[in-house]
Amino acid sequence: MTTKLARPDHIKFRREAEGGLVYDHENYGYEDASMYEVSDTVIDVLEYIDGERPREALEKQFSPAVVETLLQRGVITNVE
Amino acid sequence: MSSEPLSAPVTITWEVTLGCNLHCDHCLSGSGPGHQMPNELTTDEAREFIAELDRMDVFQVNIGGGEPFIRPDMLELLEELTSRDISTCVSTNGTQLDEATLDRIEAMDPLFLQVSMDGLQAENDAIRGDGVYDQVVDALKRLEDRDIGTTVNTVVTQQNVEDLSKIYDLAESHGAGLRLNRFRPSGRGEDTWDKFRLTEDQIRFLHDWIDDHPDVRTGDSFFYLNALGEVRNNTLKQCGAGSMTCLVDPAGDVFPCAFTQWDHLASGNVTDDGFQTAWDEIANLRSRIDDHEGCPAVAMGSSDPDGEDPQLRAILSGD
Repeated sequence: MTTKLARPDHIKFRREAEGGLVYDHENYGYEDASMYEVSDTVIDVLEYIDGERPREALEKQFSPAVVETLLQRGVITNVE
Repeated sequence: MSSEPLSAPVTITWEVTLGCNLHCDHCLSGSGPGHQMPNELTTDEAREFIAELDRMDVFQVNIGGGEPFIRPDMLELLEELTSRDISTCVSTNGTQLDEATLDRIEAMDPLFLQVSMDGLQAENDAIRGDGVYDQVVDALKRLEDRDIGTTVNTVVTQQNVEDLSKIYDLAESHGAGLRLNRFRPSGRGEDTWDKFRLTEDQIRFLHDWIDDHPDVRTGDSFFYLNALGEVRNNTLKQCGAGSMTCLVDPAGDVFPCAFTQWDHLASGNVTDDGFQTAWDEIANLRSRIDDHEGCPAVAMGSSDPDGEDPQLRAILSGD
């Protein structure tokens, strides 16, 4: 069975002049939101997912290591 | 952060009106009954502003005032924000939350409420008005069973700092978190600065208390000090005003933060200039803010001769 990956609703992102920003609003409020400066690659992954994508396609487009790292950080998630 | 200015703020504070049914002694914006500005954004202008926030990918909007729910179109505007998936936090005095309003709020996501309470009954009502405490507690009770993320928002003053544990327990008993804000000399806070601001001993007490309550939310430079007065994580200078966040006033004028609404720090208007233009301009104002140690709003509002946050200096140097 194909595993699909998606961006959780509480993860927002945008591209900046240098890399981009990922904003994790899983917790309440500005002070508790987490924000990370990320590389262009992370933004590329989030844009590529565009809803949801098979894990295999993401790994082929980027790399298994990149996909695994973003899964561990909660930036992307498995679709139930 | 990167040396390049951000293309847009991460979060903004939008004071949607200066009208309020209360007239609090420390109000940062000097709001009150009938205090609406004659040129506050119309519903159409506000909707267009929200559309631009969405185009700019602003992640979060903190709604304040005045009392936001005094605006007849407030729920409509909140629906506009949340339907665009913009995280929305509303700071309210808690007196306008009838069941019909809560029904509509509960249907919105992502939306969070901050309900103001500036002490236990006597201290709160002395600042916010007779009977307000009971109204807020009633609202907190009715919010308990609602699926609406809620915090009690307390401006820490000389009068309430020793009651923080009781306020914390009260909030917790209603399933709400506690968020602390620093009192600043802006709005009516300029006139009441000496009455409400913390003494040095109280500042030290507060830092100890915060260390013992890591789940209490804070967001101020003031709280980046630990109990010993040492700079925590070297983040004291990381004031986000004008670099990660900004303030939009009821008429659409843009300033670095809610506490620096001075003409020489204005950077444009969301209707006349567009928000993107105003944001791009605000980067030019950063040098005027960066020169002030600690919280620039306190440093500049206190007219400190050295351009420093005097409370910060007191705790760092003991003078």
